[in-house]
Amino acid sequence: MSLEGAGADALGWGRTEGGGAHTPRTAGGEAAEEQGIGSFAVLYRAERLTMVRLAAFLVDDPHVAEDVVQDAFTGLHAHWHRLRDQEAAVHYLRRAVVNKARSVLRRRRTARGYVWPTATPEPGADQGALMAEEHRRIRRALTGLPRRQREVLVLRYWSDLSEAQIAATLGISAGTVKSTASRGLKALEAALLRSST
Amino acid sequence: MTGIEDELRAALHADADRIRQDGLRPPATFPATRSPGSRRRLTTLVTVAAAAATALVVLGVHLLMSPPARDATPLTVTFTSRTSNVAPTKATITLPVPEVHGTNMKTDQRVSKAIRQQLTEEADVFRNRITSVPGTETRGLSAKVTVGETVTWGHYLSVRFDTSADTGDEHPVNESDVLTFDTRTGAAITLGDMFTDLDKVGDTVRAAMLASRPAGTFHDWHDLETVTLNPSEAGITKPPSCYPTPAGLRCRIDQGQLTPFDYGWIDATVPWKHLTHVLRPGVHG
Repeated sequence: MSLEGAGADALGWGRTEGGGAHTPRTAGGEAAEEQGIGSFAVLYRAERLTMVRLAAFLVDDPHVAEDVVQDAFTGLHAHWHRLRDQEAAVHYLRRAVVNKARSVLRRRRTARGYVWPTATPEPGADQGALMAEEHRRIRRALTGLPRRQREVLVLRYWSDLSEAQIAATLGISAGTVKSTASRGLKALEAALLRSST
Repeated sequence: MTGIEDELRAALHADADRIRQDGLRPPATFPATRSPGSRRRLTTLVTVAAAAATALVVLGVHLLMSPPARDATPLTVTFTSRTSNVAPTKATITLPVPEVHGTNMKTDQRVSKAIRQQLTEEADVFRNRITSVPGTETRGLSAKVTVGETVTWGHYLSVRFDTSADTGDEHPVNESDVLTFDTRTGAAITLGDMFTDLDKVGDTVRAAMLASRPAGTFHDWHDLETVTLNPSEAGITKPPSCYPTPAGLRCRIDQGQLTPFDYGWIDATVPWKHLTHVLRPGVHG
């Protein structure tokens, strides 16, 4: 079954481009069932791009991010019939993406122990037109943060999740989310200051 | 909202916009999933066969509750599916008869009903799964449910079911379920009935699993982060089967629940001395 043309937008799974929270609207979910369209296909169509963007922030490579998201969807598909609350599928998916991104980073650390380091590919010529220098500085600073701080900041300021939702996604307490975000912002500011001097 | 927050938000959105839908690979093809209303589309043959399977299960469970068990002949239930996209599929449910001693007829009936329901659900889960197998599958598929352990601790009786399902993947899908009863009343017991704080118990169980993991399996805490004993928090990671035994709280989970493309049971037993502070009053062996 091809997943193209599932009509996610029409079914109300929220936006499919750009950032923001991604909670399926109830009316849309009911519409999907009424129209007999597989809800997994709808979810895939609606959330794939968003999840690839999220994964790209965590693994820093769009191609690897696509692999991570594909693995996450494959895992979700295998458990789809046993999912007790399909309304919460987006939350489960986001959690799977974060966990699989961590696994990729762990494997990457191991591989770097055996492979001669190569230079990071330079951004393409069109990158400058798409992204201001100030934004690039912030992204570089973000990449240098510890993993958990980076995850919290991305989920907070790109996915627009609440502290409770971030806590559930990362498997940590809401208090830890708050303190990690605070430390992350301070570290980010310090890194930007260092890079500008 | 401070300046750094605004800047970070703007930078993230600008960066995310670089990845566009038309820049992604072509969409993946997944097997068709069964929508809630598609049960009606199951063939008559499958429906009739499943009904026969259920009847056999019901009959078998009646034998299961006859204490003490004299006949250990496994109960086998089969059903076959022939649909347009699924090869002939056979499910086998094998049940060695465990020795279960209830205290009165009412207790036995409650326990029997719960076990019957569990087995029916297992058969239904497998029947649902096989409808999503791609049409290229040519070999017969099978699922086996076995009673992995029947154990008593104090007033508690636990029956653990281990399911190994061949759904056409490279390795079987293993899952474990457990039913625990209070033998005085026949009532089903959950971990929440036994412990005051499931999060603390979960932490201890994860530590035990990490210590007992087979060599070459999952790596560290991160792979166990999705493991929870609280069913309401469980997402795609099925909670491990945990039940009381004389040695401690025993838990079982399949590696496939933790890391993709892995399989094999992970067993861990947490001694009671590590759990006494979270046991509810009156819960003891």
